[in-house]
Amino acid sequence: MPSNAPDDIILIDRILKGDKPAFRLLVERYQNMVFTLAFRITGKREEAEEVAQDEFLKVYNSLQGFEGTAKFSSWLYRIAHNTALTKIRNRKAEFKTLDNFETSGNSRAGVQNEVEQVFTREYLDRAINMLEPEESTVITLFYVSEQSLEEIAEILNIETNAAKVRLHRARKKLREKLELIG
Amino acid sequence: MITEEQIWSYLDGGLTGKDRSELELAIANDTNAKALFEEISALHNSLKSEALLLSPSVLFTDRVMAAIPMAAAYAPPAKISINPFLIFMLPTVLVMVALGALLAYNHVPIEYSLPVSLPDFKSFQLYFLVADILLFAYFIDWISEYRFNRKTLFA
Repeated sequence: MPSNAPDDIILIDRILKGDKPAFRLLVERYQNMVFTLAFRITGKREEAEEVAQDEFLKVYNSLQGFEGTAKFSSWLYRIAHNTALTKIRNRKAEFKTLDNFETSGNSRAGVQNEVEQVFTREYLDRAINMLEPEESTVITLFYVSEQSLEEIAEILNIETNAAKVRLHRARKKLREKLELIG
Repeated sequence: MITEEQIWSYLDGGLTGKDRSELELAIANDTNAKALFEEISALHNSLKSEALLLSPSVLFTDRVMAAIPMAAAYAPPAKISINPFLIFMLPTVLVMVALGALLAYNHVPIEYSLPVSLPDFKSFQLYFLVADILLFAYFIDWISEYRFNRKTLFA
């Protein structure tokens, strides 16, 4: 977030006073993270966009219910997580396999040394998408969104220790998947 | 023998004191431990980079904004619209009426009889004027406070 950008609470206050364009700033600020979370859970770009859009509409309609006791991002990611889970529960069961995998389009080959070359974005994307939704979610929240274990626990509505265990299990499994596809 | 969990904890900053020193010693002296550390460390750094942050389509924001129904928009703040002409006319009229009443009282003989005795005319006139001036001052103070603190008054 740019240093001169209004913080979330100020934006929410403006939205609640009828400043609809302020909501655009909020969407632009969080759309990548919400979309990433949705994609990690659904595994499909189209569904992830649909989920992210539904999520922002829900957020807009329930902004008055945001009490400001937790971070706005935590509140937002909790709704995103629940919306995406509901989506995949409602659709016909599909199993993610290596064959039907979708990888993100913008592959970036920015690697630093020989060891890191093993973990290009494409490999990581594929491996993360092979995890269970709750595992890919915890990895996304911890690494991409840089949420603390306490915040992750709050978002996922679990205990902090459970979040720690889930993160460890997800990372272990991620290594296994990387070995499998490497 | 170091474990994967220890390395992840170390990278997360969760290892302290003796545990941390032991792990660092093992990495320095054991080639297997060093290899495992380098592999996990590389994965840790790759995960931390922003490369894993995905973007929706370019029209995503526009679609979200278009999907918000007009009816759902939060109401803009109600503006207090008071005609400034009225605001300045009211105290003026108040003063003029008061002065007119006093002048009339002074010049038109009115015959009346009341069961209570009134204060003499000069005192009554003085009290009335002082009360009127105080009310007027209070009114002006209230208006200026409103004007400076709430910009919406004349917006």
